[in-house]
Amino acid sequence: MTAAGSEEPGPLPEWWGIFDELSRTDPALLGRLGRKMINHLVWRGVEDAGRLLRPAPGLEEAELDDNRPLPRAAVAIDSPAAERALRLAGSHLGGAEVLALLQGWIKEDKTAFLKHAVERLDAPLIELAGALRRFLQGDVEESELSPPTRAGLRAGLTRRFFTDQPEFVNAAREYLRIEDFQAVSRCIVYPARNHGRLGGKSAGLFLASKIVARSPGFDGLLKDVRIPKSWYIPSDGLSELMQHNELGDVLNRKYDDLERVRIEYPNIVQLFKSAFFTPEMLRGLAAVIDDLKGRPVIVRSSSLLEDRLGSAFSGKYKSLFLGNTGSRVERMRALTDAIAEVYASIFGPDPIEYRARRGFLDLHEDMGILIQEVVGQRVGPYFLPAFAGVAFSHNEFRWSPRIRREDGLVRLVLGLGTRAVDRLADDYPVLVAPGQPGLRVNQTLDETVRYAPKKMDVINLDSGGFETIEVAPFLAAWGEGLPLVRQMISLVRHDRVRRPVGLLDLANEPAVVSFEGLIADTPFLAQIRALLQVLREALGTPVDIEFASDGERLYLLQCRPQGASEGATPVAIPRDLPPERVLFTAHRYISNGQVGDLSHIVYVDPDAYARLDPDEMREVGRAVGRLNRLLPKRRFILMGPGRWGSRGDIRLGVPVTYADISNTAVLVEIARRKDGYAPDLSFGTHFFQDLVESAIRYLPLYPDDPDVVFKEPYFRDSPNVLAELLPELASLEGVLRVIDVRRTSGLSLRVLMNGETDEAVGVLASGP
Amino acid sequence: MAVNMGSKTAVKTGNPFEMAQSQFDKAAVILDLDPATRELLRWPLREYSFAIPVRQDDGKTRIFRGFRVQHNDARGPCKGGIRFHPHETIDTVRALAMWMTWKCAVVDIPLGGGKGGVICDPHDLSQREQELICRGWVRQLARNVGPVQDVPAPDVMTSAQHMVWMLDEYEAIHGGHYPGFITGKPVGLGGSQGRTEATGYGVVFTIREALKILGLELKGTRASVQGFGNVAQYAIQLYRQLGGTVTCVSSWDQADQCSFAFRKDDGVDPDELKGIADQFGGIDKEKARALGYEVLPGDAWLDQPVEILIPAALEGQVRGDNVTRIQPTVRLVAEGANGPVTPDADAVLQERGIFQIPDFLANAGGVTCSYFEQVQSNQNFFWERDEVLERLDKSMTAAFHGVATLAQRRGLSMREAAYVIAVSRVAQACHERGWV
Repeated sequence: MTAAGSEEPGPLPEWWGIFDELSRTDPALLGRLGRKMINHLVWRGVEDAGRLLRPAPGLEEAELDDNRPLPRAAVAIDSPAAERALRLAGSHLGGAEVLALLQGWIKEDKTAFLKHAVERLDAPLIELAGALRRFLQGDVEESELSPPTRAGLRAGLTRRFFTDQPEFVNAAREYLRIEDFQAVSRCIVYPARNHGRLGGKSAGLFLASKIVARSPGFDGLLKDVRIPKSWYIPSDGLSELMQHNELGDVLNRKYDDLERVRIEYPNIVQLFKSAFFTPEMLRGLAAVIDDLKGRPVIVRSSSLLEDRLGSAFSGKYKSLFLGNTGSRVERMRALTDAIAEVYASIFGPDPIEYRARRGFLDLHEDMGILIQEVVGQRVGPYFLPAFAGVAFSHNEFRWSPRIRREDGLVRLVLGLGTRAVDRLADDYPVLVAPGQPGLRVNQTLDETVRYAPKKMDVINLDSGGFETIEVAPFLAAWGEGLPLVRQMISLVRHDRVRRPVGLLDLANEPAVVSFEGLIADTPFLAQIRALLQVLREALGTPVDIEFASDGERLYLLQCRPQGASEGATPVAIPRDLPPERVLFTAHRYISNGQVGDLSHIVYVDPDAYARLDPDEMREVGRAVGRLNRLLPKRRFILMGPGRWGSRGDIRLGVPVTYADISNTAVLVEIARRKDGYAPDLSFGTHFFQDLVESAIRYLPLYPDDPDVVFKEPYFRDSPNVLAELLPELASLEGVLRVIDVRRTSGLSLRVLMNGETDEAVGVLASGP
Repeated sequence: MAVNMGSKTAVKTGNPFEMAQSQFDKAAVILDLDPATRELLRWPLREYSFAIPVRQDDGKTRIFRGFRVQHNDARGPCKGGIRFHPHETIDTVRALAMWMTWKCAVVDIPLGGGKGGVICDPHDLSQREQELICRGWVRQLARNVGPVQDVPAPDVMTSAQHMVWMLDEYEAIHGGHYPGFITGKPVGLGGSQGRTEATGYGVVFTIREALKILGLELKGTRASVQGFGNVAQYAIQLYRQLGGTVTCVSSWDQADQCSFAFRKDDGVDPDELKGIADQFGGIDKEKARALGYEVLPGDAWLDQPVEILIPAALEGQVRGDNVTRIQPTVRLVAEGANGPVTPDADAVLQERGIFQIPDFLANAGGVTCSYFEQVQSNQNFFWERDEVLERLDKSMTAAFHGVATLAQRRGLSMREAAYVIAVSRVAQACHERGWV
């Protein structure tokens, strides 16, 4: 049988088999393929192909009129039309290629159901999960899809499951595979009508884990990095719970004034805790409980707004740790209670205030829930990770000029990482810069002991709850059972701190948490460096990550863009500041930050100070301490020569302790050239970790650098209100000056610091 | 720490070495020293200044400046610490080296005075880089320091670890074991037992002797102590053992960033307090209250109705503005810290006839124990703790009486007498050697 229209008999084209089969069994598909082929040919510039699309003969061009819309051509592709298209293609592209194209399109057509499922925005997630399953069980591999189709599917799935934030979707397209979404969908606890998304935290972590898993290189450092077992409740779980329990009124509470919100909040928490979950949810949660097998768990918020507001916001919602002990009923109760409480925290005063201040109050807040297994193991009566912490791509708290911003920063603690994430009021984490592990903040015995962590967070398996305990008794009683303990502690003698070698008797030898061994002898820091690098490159932005270790493996717990964390954004330095208002500028060793609305400057005149004898220097130190207690908290800056905090006979700095400077907003050290060299500043090292935990900014000034402004006459000649504030210290007027900026100029002082461009400026401005 | 001798007239140049020299000049006048001796003792005998090249971790080489000032070694090898500090000046070091000469002389140990250091900031250096600096320091000075020439020790920002690195380098260069080269080593690697107690016990030895002069029995006296660090804790321990009662102790509260005083009229129990204190002697005030201590503001230690005050915390704590709070019962102030009493307050105390044991005599237990470490190291035989402390007792008692006798005979204050006796001993040694 010869093909219609051909003049010579010859071998059948390669695609004939398919054509023949489909014209009999699936003409619709054939029609679609024909159309696709025509499009393909047109796209490839084959002229004749266009003719196949032309309107039916008979409709002359002359009849077309500018004022009338073009008539639609009848483009019904029937079998003969398809055959024509295929033949045309064959003559231009060759039979083999046509065959290959057809096969590819047939495969894609088989997966069209997935595309439709993704695009149907009102389809419940469960349906989408079903489509995914079908796809993955089918015989079409993801790699066989055309790149645009693949990218489209991935982007679509990301938008459905996670978020539609463009940066995230971009990265997801590159690193997530369709099978990943199935893995996610298996861990979702589905509310009845589920259309919601999983939220920022879940999304960020999941994507990060895949980025890490799929990044080669780094000598295999990253191959053992995991994320803990996680389950997700999409964002409409909250609205479902509220509807199910007639809690809709609560939504408008956010418009109440803050005091009322604060007072009513505990009642709202109670309301939520006594709410009933739907049977679907309960079934899903029961499965989670079974899956957990009695391991402790953390219930975290994963809000959709986080994507837009950044991580400075997410900390405002609750996270709850559960021991997950007791009977199955008790455990379910504890889990549902915790979820309810986390939901209720949306209506808490802190988040509401935060959103109100930024004008986001009207946005509908939807919150997903992330349920994660706690990383760690049992030690004594407690459950805890060996260590945990936070790592930042950029270091905004450098303690030495040899550390660059890109060297990053890690905050490490023993036990749960909650103590590393937040600033601590009464305790310190261990700090290290991954890019410069040899330069430790604390060098002397005093410093190492003073700034070592004294407390740790754990889960008490007896009470089933979260607890803060003291490190020393824990180490003495249970230390030897703690994994990696040798790498995490150092032994303290009266004259030195040393790493444990040989026999270790923690019950009798005092030890401090120093992480010396972990930093020096394990690949931990190299892993952190690799993680930060990989994530930064993939996401296109510096990141901050939370991690924990059970003693064997490193687990990633959270990943978010660093720019969003508090105080880490580079501040735009305006270019057109009126010169008469600029008091000082700097361009070395700057970290990000800004403080405004400063009303006072406390200035220790470097030249006058250098002429004092030691007793007088100490008096100045004491005077600064008194001013610290008197001046409005965080509304003044301290400026002085050399190294704040120098004690003893070292005289190049004002002798103060942290208590004497604890309320300042910025600590400024002025380095003037002496005999041809600029002295080294302290970078706040005398009380460095106190500065970090209080968010006191540090700024070094080098007035003798070229292109730098330092209005010495302003500092020296402005009226000095010291005698007014502390009349008995009037004799120090020549050295210690207190300038009331408002009174002198009617303006307030603002200090802007940009670590990216290494620029800082202190400028008088009106308003805060 | 530079001593103040009637410093109302002290030179206010701010230059520590010039201040040290002017204090010396006063002593020289009292001693009627001849010009040549004055000239010799006013200046260090030898000063070394040198470069220490170090290849840092990043591959770049940095040159550090190091130095050692040997003020005087007529009485024995120089003794003095090595400090790391980013802004060391030669004048500070000279002053401190001179100070060490007097300190060793006043407590009558056969050592001279020296001091040294490296201009650097350990906060900017890794451990490995610090080790290289230590070894480089020794390499430069190997010919000029040693057990029979100059014996360094730890100081600002240097520790036992640095001492061990330096010892190791010295021994590698000289091809033998010379533990007597350096002090401040860990026990087991050449350190001496009794080091932790030495300074605190030393304070109490001088107190005990001073009370004899005042005609008071130590048993039954009461004391108030400022500070609860190493010196204070051991001072309290020994004082109680000898029968005294400490009714008040002040300590620094790191969390509240201020100090509190803890009072118990029938006597504080240092072991109990140690149990509720942190590594720096910061006492937990809640726990203290629970144990029955009265918790008062920190400076309340000063106005306790006791016989003995022991400032053992920081410099400049008893000043013109608070010295009047001292009760009439107080007969004795023993300076456990360096420079705790300012010149203004000093004058007031003298007027009131309160016996003062000056810092460089009272807290000389430390340097004496350092000397013992050197002795034991040189003989490669180490005493038990009790033997060390017994010898310490003898040494400090003798030193104290030397000063007290002079003070009485010549009508000088204890501080002046201490200084004078020190200078005198050094001057004599120089004369006998034929130097002047």
